[in-house]
Amino acid sequence: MFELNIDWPQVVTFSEWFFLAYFVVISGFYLLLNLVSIFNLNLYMPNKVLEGLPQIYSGLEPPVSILVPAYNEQTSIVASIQSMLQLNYPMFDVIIVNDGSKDETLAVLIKTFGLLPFPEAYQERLKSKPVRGIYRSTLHPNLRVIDKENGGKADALNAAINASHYPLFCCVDADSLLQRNSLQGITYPFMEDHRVIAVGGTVRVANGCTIVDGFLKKVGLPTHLMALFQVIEYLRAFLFGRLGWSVLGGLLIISGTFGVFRKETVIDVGGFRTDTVGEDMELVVRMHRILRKNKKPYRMVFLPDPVSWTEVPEDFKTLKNQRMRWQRGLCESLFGNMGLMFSHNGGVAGWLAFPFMLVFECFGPLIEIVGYILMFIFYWFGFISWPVFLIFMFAAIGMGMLLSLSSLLLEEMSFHIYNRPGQIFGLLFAAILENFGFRQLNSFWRLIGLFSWIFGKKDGWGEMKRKKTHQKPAVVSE
Amino acid sequence: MEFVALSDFRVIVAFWIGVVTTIITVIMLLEVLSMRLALMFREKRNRRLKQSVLQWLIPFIAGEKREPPKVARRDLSAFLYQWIHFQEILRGESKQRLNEALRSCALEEQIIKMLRKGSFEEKLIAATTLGHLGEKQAWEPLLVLLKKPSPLMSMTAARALVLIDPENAQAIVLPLIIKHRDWMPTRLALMLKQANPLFQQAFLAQLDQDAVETQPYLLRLMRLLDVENSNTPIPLVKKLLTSSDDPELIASSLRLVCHPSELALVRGKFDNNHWAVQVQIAAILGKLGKPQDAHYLVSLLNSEHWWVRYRAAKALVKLPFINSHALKKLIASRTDLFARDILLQINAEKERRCLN
Repeated sequence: MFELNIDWPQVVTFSEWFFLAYFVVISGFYLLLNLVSIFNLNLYMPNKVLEGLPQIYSGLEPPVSILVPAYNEQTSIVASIQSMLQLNYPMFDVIIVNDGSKDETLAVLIKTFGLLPFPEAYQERLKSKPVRGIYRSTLHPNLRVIDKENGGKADALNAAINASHYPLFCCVDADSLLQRNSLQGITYPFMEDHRVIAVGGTVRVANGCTIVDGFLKKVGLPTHLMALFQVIEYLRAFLFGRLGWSVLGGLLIISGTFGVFRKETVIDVGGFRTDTVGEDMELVVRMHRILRKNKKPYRMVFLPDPVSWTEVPEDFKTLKNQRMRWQRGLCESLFGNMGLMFSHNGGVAGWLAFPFMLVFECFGPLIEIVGYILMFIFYWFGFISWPVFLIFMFAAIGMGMLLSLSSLLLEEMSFHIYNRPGQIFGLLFAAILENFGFRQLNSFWRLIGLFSWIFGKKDGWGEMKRKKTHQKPAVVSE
Repeated sequence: MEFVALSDFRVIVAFWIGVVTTIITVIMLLEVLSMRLALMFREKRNRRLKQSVLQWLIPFIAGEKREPPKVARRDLSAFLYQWIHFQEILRGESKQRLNEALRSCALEEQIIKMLRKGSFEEKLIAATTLGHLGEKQAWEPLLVLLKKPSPLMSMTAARALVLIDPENAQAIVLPLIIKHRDWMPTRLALMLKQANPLFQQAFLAQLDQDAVETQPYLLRLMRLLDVENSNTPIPLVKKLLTSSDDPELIASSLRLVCHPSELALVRGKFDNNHWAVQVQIAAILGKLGKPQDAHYLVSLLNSEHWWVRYRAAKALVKLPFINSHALKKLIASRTDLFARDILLQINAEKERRCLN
């Protein structure tokens, strides 16, 4: 009979070194990104000093189409659209795509915005599911609604691109709220440099904020612990993750919640892919791959201050589904564009950002969770003592806390949006506490997402349970 | 059966990683708290300052002179920021009163000192203030800032120079507008908008003179001209339309066509197939076109570019002989789906406008 001859001391030694090295490398790299972001913010913030002054439009701002894909959004869409229609920007239109909603989304839109069918010359430059009708608002000349058969978010975005007439388009989620000056800020890079093809803005957590009539009136922190942890996560992801990568020239993600793209470039690369759940990241990685392959000069930029606010899940099930979808989207985006990795003209995106994402973000949860499990097993079988087990946990959690705190430091150095004293204590508390369970749980969900991608499970729109407790009805003036 | 002792190297490494990260975390935590404390004090001081500035400045603008508030050195930039805020939104006589108000504080020397030795932000605020104030003593330090590598700094200094003495600033600033490709077009356009007409004319003359040398860069500058809203033909436009083959440059030049006497030049571009050129031609014909241009506009209805079709259809319906009946006939005669769809859209837009 076959006898399994395992050298357990060697296995333990190797595992411990491997997981320790993994945590050190990933944390070290993120700290490096953090330093790059600090350096960049130090250069960026002084330039903002005159931007708080009243702005006069020059007439040279590029017109933008705001694309809002909507599926079963009857409760949130009106407030979001109202906020978009009141943006401070000289020329923009809003195109809502009702992607075959099963609820009253279209009826609510027709009633609220006085929509009427309009014989628009719609040209299908990107393939999408059939369009059932196009409506124009009688109240807002810059508002149109495309009603189409259900095809998913990417399909809805492709239809909206077909209907857009301006050179830039801005993707916004139907439940997101933009700050009044967001559009003005996010289009600056396009005016500064004609090579810019995409710009991402920051997404912040709306839970706990007071929103009146589609606009943010007061910044607040969520009372729900899970949402509070996500405030730290979003700070970490946007303030030093994306800003750092953007400075290095390796930005692989521009959030579909708030990003502006040059329309012709997106059409040239084939628009949004409809067979992925991470259509936003996939498009960005594909643009890198194709433009680098064709040796076309381009830039993709992340800006930390044009802000969009979004509601994050406060229940385990929705959050788990969201994280699983994100992980699958990440895997699909990377494996669908493997040609970028180590490609001849790959640059930072192909030689640094892509391999990093693949090892630490795509397979990271696997390494992390296996690491935790092995430590437990080693302890359980008596291979390591309780103090040794605690020391390894101390190192792993310590590095996590360091990253969380450094994102808070960046926020405090730059925008300090959460300006009440109690809020900073709340954030500090969350930054420390999230490392004791929440981050590990998150990694576990991402691991399930990785497996579901491997085993090919697919779903459509990521539906989210929304509470909207932060939204107040419009104040009716007499 | 324990394989790992506390004294093992990897355990010691893990322990020290934990210790070091915890120490840095605690330092960061203290840093965050101290920054927040400093911010709270600063905001409290700024709020008080803002209140006193408003109580003094608003009556001053209305003509009621009051004793100026005492401004500490550390509050100077916050104070000036409030003042600039009013300068940017007010027009005419009120701006003069604002200048009077600031001069009554006798802060000029301090502001010039800030312009010379302040931080980056302070220099920006000081340059903007001194520009609005028309402070001639700031000329020399502003010239120094004009040479700084930061485009924002050099542009702010240029704007201040133009505001202080537009005539003398011409010779210095105009060549820089041509040279500085990193200056934001929107800010440049605003600078030109706010400059006096003499400076604007000098800018046009400079462009005309440098047209050939600055050709690759001209596109951006042409866009600046776009905001000038002139109703008289610009000689540079004729020069470019007759000499340039660059479609984007032609399109930019066409945007500036504003007079019927330039129609012949426009018609000379009918054989250009670039969509950006066709859009501009259609837009011009929509404003200045004659019946003989209808044939060209009808041919554009088949273009694969939406904007070309849209502008052509819009221009067509504006022609005097295209009434509702003629438009319906035109729609019925189109075999091309693109052309028919765009005409239907324009017709619907026209009808809706009538309904409204």
